[in-house]
Amino acid sequence: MSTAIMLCGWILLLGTAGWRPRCAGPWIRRSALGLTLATLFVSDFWWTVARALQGHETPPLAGPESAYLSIWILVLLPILSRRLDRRALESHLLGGLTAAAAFGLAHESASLILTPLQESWPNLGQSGESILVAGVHTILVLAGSSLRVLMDPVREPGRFHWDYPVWYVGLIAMHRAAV
Amino acid sequence: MASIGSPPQAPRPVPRLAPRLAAPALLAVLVGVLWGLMQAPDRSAETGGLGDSAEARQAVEAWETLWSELGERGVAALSPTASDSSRRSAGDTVFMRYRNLWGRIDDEARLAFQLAALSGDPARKLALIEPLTQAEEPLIRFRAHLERARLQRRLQDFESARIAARAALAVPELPERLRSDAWFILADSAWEQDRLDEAETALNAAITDDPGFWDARRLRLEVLARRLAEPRQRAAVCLDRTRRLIQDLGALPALAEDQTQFRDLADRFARQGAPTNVALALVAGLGYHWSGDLERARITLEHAEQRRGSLPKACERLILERIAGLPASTPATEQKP
Repeated sequence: MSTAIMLCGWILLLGTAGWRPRCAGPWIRRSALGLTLATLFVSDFWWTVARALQGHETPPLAGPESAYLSIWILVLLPILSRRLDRRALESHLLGGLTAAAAFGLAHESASLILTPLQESWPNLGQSGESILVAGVHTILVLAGSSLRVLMDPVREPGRFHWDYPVWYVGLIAMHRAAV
Repeated sequence: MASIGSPPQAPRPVPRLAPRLAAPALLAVLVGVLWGLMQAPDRSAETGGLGDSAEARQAVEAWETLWSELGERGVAALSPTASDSSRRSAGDTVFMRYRNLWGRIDDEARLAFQLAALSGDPARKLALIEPLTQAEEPLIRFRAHLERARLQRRLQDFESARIAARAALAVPELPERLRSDAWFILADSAWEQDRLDEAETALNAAITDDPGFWDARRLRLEVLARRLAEPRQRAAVCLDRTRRLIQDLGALPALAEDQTQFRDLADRFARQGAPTNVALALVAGLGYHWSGDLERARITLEHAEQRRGSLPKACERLILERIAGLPASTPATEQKP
């Protein structure tokens, strides 16, 4: 149920930003950050990761070495753009938090949809399942990216947070390596 | 008049396109999630309250299969079938479990292994084996790594033993049947270092590769008993661990061809009549039951209810359901086919 509640929160916030921009005051930045943290806090996936770090369960994520390409890009991005200040670090951390929240939400949503679907539709097949999971992740990547933009203190038109998809791809690589 | 200080900030523009695309797409996901949640109560009932995950369903299915096999064939259902007659169930060194395994090794490597085996000095043994870890032949390389792991384990250098066992497992083009020993040394070293998660995973792999591996099953009993006592485990994991405990309990006496082991193992888990949780109470009760001590079995199982509270509730409920349905007064011999 927490997954559905969090999805409602994301829809509400993004809907307000998209269709009622005048209602979206300065509070929207804090709301986006709060929603991201709340999503992480109630996520079963991230609780499992936390328990696994304490050695109680098998981890659903492999070590960071399985996402070395993402890590390299995350290190090189600020160096190449010559932004090695506190704001760049903050931006990276926000990208990581948003990607983690979106990834956890996508993982749980896909699982909730897929499990009954496999029973109701046994002919779904491996490719059907993969398409559905990829679709859910794509939607959450887009939603997370929008949420990340809302967290910016200063709007820079046309700016894209490259670190966000890199974080997300890194999480996918770590998850795939663990499964 | 010009204002003093910074000009009033204009409201910053909020991006519209991406949220406008994302919000309806998320709505579609929400509809799917709500549909999935609507199906959940039925599936949760199917899994005995363990939840609706694939893990829970697999755990309950395996649990039910175990009990239906026990109902049909009794404890004989837990005797591992020997898929490979060239392997023994146990051995002082891992290589004693195999017959005629090393026939293909060239003379030079064979001599080095023989000299290492004859030497009484562990450092000399390691020095003789070390060059063979670089051999081209995968089987020699594997044996050298595994021998090194075994030596380090005897020297109580468990970290080096783990590294050597992992190196053995990383050797490619190796017959699958050989891997179980490397998994076992890895598990044993991890157990000594209190790395229970790694030990459990390695033992599961060892027993999957060789269900008739007595040492691995004996160690897994210890590991699983400790793991079950840990807090914060999922109900499905708890049920899986209890199932494996029962499987190991049933397999060990059959592998050793010694039925008195049931009693020894039951005593081990009963710990003077007070198992620490319902899973261990069930295992101890089954051990007494299969050893023929029905009175002890009945007393142990009757007191299982008092051990509630240390395992996940759904897991405890499923175990207690089975305890309630156990024919504790039926002699073990009557259950055999």
